Amino acid sequence: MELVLEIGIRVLLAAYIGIGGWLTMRVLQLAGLRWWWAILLWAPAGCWLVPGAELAGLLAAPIPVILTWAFAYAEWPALIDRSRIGRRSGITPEAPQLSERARAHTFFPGMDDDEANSPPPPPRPSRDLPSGALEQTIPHKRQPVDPDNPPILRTPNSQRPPAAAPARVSHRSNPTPQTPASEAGPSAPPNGAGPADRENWMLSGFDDEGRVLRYQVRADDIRACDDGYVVGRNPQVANLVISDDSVSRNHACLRLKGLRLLVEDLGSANGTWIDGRALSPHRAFEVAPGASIEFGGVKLTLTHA
Amino acid sequence: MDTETLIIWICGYIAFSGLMVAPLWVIFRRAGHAAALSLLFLLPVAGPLIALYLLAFRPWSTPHNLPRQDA
Repeated sequence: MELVLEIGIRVLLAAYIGIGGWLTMRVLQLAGLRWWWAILLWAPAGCWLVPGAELAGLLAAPIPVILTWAFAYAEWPALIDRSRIGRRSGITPEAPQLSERARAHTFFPGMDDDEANSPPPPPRPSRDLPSGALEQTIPHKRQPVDPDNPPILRTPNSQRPPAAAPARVSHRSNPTPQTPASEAGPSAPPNGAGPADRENWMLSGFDDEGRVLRYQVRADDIRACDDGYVVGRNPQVANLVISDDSVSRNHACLRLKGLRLLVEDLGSANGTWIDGRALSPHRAFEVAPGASIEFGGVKLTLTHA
Repeated sequence: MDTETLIIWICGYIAFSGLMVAPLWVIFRRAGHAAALSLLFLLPVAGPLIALYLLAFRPWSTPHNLPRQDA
């Protein structure tokens, strides 16, 4: 009777370990890690299946603890872009462009193609960044953002947001026309943006080769994205695609709180910078018009559209 | 199994669970779930399986955890 009870217990334990190991494998695969780490994780428990190996199982109990800690803080290849860590490479030859998903939302009624195709480029953002522009120190611990009181980044030039150029993106044209800087030349953004335009945003600037980059982001598009308006290099997941090697596949996301724009770095390899200050990942910060935002090596100026 | 041994086992289990809950808290948070779900691990026997099941089958849906899709 005692033998039957012992065998029954071991069978139940084997089932328990099997189910647990299978679930662990699935979790590891979701994170992009090798599934066989689950074997190591459950091996100590497996020792209890072997008569006389109970002590070994007890001594090996720290192994799953250590592995779980390692898993918690390791990079998860399936979820994090690691391809650009440690290097800031140059601009890719292809043009930066909006994804199909974003392009479908970038038609603005009342705008003709001439208007859309003759973009006055914004002033080239200065490399001389104001220092000490932050009102608060950015902590490096991921914290949930209080939607009613997001942290604020303000710059000296953000008190009076400059009026932005009219919308330059149409449904038929390339939403990010490229013009050599020497031909286009910087120009001051026009005044007179209407109330409706104040909801929309323009990210504009130059790449390292002098090409003009312009990305128009409509407030409705941002609001339509429950999980945030993703900026990144991967056209399959990003709403705003920047084809630059220094930009991670899922680099940052934009959110709206009322008419205020929040920027959150999504753990990108090369970071997101506002006026030369790096953002803590996974924490949303309000950014004011006139501020410069750097997604990796791509520096853009935020204005109202 | 006498009472003393039982107490030692219970204390050992609590210590083990406590050490596992902390990393699981981080894992749940990174996966976009409520971090408090890691406390399920404190439930004897079924708790770890339930926690693992939630991690394995609930979608990891936060924007910063979108799956990488190689072109």
